[in-house]
Amino acid sequence: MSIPRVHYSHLIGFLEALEDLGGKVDAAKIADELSLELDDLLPVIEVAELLGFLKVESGDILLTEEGLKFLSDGIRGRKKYLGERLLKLDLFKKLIEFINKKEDKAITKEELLNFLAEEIHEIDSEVASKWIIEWGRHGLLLRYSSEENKIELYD
Amino acid sequence: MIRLFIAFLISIAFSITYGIIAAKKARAEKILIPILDILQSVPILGFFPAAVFFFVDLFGVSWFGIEFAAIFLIFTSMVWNLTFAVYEQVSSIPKDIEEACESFGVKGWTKIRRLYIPASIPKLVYNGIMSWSGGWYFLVAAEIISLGSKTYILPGIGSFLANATYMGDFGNTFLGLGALLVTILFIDIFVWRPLEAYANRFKYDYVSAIEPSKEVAFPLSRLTSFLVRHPRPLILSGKIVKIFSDLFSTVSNFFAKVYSKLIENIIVTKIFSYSVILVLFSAFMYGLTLLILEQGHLFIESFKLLFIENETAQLVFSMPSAIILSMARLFIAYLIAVAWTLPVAIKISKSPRLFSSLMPIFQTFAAIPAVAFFPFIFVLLMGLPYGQELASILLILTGMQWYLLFNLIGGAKSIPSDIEEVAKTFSVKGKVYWKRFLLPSIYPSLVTGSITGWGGGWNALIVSEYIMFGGKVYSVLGIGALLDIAAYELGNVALLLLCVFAMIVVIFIINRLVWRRLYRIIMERYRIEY
Amino acid sequence: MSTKTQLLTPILDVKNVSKEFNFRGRKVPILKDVSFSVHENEFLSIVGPSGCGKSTLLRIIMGLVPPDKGEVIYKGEKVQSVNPHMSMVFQSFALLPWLNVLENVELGLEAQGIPKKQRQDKALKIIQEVGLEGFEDAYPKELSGGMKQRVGLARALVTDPEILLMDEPFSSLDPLTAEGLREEILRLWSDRFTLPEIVIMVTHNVEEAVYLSDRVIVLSHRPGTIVAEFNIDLMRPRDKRSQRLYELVDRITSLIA
Repeated sequence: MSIPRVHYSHLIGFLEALEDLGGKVDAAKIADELSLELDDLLPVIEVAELLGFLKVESGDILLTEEGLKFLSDGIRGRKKYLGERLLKLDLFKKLIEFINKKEDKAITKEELLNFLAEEIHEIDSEVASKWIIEWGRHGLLLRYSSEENKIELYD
Repeated sequence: MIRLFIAFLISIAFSITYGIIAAKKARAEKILIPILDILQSVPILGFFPAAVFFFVDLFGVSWFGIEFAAIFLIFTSMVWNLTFAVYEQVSSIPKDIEEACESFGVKGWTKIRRLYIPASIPKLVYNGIMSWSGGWYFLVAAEIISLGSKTYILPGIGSFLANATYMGDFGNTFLGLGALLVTILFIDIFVWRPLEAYANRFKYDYVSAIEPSKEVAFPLSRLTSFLVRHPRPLILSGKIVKIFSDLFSTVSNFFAKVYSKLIENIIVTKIFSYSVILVLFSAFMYGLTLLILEQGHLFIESFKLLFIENETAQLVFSMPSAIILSMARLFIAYLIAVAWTLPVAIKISKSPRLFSSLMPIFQTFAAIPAVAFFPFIFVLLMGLPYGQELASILLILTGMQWYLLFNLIGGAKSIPSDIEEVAKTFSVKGKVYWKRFLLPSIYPSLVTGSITGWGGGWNALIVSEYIMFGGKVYSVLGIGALLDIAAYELGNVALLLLCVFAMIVVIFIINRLVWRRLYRIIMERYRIEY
Repeated sequence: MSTKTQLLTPILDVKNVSKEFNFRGRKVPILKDVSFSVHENEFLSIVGPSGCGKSTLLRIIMGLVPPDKGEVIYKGEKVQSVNPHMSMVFQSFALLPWLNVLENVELGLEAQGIPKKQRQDKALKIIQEVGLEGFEDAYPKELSGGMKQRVGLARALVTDPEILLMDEPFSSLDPLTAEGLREEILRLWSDRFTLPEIVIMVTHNVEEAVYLSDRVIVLSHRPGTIVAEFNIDLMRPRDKRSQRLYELVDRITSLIA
């Protein structure tokens, strides 16, 4: 999986719950605590792991130092930190490069869709584009205006 | 009136079937919706010749054939807009409700009865009211069917009115109008009000109304409460009026219950729909074959005439300019219509008092066929320069404005209650309220109102550009007039069909280029999702 | 730690409020004789079974709906119409679908006639504080539930209200998102800067009420009357798993059942 496909709010909610339970907990237990099915939580856990915020070891979920740091940051701090972690992902790296190469440092939605179709051979690039834009916004990496059909870098 | 009723029932059955199929089956949708589009654009009066040939052939020149033709015409005036309503409603049922149905194993007829029909009811009722208004309008046209030298007249209020107009007989015109008015009011009280109260149950409103919606309120209730509160002499009369209004309310509520039982009775709806569809379909196939076989040669004859005779050839060449002129008239009428309906609709939607007192008046006026206005408009405008142009524009206006008005009122009233609360919470008033709340929520209905309004406009062309009054004929250059000339004066089938065809092409192009685009853009941004 | 100095005059006084509705010609009482006061620096929750009129009570406090009997006094004056010093966050988010996040947040200021540049600056500031940075151009349909509610919150805060009212703010959110947002609200409450001094929240979730508030008022079944008031004497930051918290939740829940 190269794009996180869960909502940012789920990631935060999960990490907060993990911290609450002491930072180390059995997978089944945390599912129980949150009254959710473990199956439902797997995507969130995957994403959190991908971003380096937690580790999974023999059925236990451990909050990493990065995870702890992330949680203790203020609202803006978290976003900046998230942005850094996202940039370590291949797909985001490539996307930022792609946009940088353009003269006006912006691409249209269609160009994004094409890019995704080629890069990740995505069956449904429309859905993928939505997730990329959402995480890009959260990490203060991307700006998107549907009115002007413009996706550009944050700064 | 019975004709209207029959046509209406058939329309409902048809629209439910067609609409649901179109909404649910993606492949069918691709064919069905464009067809519906085209059908809706065809001016109803363009169906005339086809309908007449068809039914007259089927049943011979007998009472039966003509009656059917008339009913069919009225049906075509009502059905497209109802079908679209069902289609829209069924396709916008929130996904989670659909999923819930699936998980409970609700399929087939139960699903139709429990999900699709209830989902469509509010819009069906609302559009039904509009369709009836349209239906009354076409009654006149439908009851007098002329083709070439032959004229078929059916007994009915429509032909009565048209005759009176033609004779320039004001007295009879008034009489006819009066009778029409009474009938409409009657139907309003016994049919529409209860149905509306019934339909209210089916609305998706996110915040369940803090104050539950009121039951059917007889329009005079304000008057009665006023009277009852006043000192002695008036109390008695107040009491009498109150008794009447209570009586009416009870009757209305009773009917509301009756209708709900009827509609929700599965056996009734099942039998009804199946039989109607079956009959329609077989009749259609039969008639089509007959038509082609028997009338083919007539068509070829008249086609030859087109290019041989000078007169008719000239008419053919005047078509392009005719179309442009007609479009210009439509546009002017449209601007006038928007100019008055927009502010009025907004005013009315804000005040329940205005709403309950003015709506019946508007509905009544909407039902009066433009033909009935002819005499008055004539007397007024004939003396002025360009009098005839003005007259036809005004008449076109009457065909357009009600669609706009009712759609706009519907739109203005449907701002979700939680968004209304937001406006109150942040004390949003005046210009900001208009800019941020009112107008944006009205845009979708402005677009649908305009689309249907123009549809009505095209139809009105046919009666507004060519007028028979006091034994004489007045016409302006326009595609509607051309059509009428072809039908009434020349009896030339080919020319007639050519005109109809030209109209269809123009309407279709406008549809695709303008309305489709506009609709998509507006719905993208302004539709309120639940 | 909530040492409320009862000697201070309350900012908000709800006095003997009653309300009934007309339903099919019958009068249905919704609220009966509700009285309580709210002082500054207080996070108050109102809980009760569904249908007990708590949302209506909130609207009466706001001035959106008039009470049939009784009155609401704000800073010594009777509330006659919508109180501009109060703001509300809605259960259904109630964002205008045709405006983007920035425009939605600015709404209250626009209604006050504040010029574009000023209200934009103010709105952007709040947007940052509430965690919406990066989403200024987004339209509501591009947002997840949690983000939508943040917009609702930002919109309510941008007008600098003295009292923030929240009508079941987390009920339309999934549990994980709700968790996160609750923590956020707590953080904002403790920095004493973003949220106003008084927050009144209506909820049916007793745990949430106890976790967040200084005081919890319990309403009865319709017609709603005050059954009990609880001072939540837990020190902040609170432990969601503390014994005392569970006890309080149990006691309150038993009153509602």
